[in-house]
Amino acid sequence: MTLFQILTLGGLGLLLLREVMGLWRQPELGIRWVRAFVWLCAGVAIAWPDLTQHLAHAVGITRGADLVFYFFVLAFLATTFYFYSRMVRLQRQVTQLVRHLALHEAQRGNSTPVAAEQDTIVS
Amino acid sequence: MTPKEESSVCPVCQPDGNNIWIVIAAYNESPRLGRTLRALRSLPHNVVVVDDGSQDDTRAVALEHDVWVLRHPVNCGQGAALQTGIEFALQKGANFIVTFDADGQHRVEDVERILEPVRSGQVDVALGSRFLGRTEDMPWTRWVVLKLAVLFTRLVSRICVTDAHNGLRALSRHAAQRIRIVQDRMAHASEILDRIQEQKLRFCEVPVTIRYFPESLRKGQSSWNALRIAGQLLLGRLIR
Repeated sequence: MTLFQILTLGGLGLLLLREVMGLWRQPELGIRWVRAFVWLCAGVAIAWPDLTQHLAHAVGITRGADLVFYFFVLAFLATTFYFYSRMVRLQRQVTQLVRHLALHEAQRGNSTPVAAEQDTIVS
Repeated sequence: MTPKEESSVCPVCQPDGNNIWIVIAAYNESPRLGRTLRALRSLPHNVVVVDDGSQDDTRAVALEHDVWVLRHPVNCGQGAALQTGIEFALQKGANFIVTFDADGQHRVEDVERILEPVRSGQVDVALGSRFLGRTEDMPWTRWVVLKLAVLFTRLVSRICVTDAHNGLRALSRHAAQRIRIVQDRMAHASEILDRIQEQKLRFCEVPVTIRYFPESLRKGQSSWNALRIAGQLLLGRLIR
């Protein structure tokens, strides 16, 4: 095993342990399952690098490194769109809030109050 | 009481049911808004100005006139400001709504012209078209971009118009309630066309005049923003 494998597998092992302990307390938390799966896949790919080569050949890609690269490109695009969508939804919520304030604080410009006029006429 | 005073005091109680509101979205328009509002005084309609988080005296200028003034505490975009103004007008019982630019690009004389087909019940939405009407001092680059916008609209929104980004439009109450603008910024103009098509609203185009002033061109959208607007519209369709 190389120094890189030792260091990264050690780090990934700790992350995986943290997720497993979290899942033990809250097994319904979906995002923890996703993170645990990602750390596990990363760990397997680093521990057995030839595995990516076999997987790449199985799907018609020449090199394992290319498979990993394509996966990261897709993951990057999906993540970017996910965060863009969240930002747009958040922006729409801000707009709704701003609109509520604006409608609530509508003001009439340059108009004489009706009550004052009536007071003047009566007196 | 003049028709304007009557409409100001009791906007719902129009003898002929014509409660007409002009909605103006304004952002940093203090040098130009006063001129626009003074010109609109000649019309017997209600006016609402939505100050979209301006950093200048736009709101103060609007408050000098007999108009309703709403203020967004932060800048949200012209689409957001128009939707706020439209909602306010609907709350006040508007039967017809006209959207009008703050910077004087539109002529007051075109307001009645654009209202006519909607008021007569022929259509739900009347859209202003500078290409059926007239333009004054339009840069050639703007002409090219607007023509490309028309092509884009025909392909994407599947609606046949000659001017896809004109801020002068008239809506019936029925149309205003169905066209809910979600695009906060400049893509709202294309979104309105999308909604017209989606809601199967009857529409027509009306020839109008658009005037280009150097200060509004300096302040306004760069022609390159057309790409961003197209991107916002397409991505916005994917996000619910």
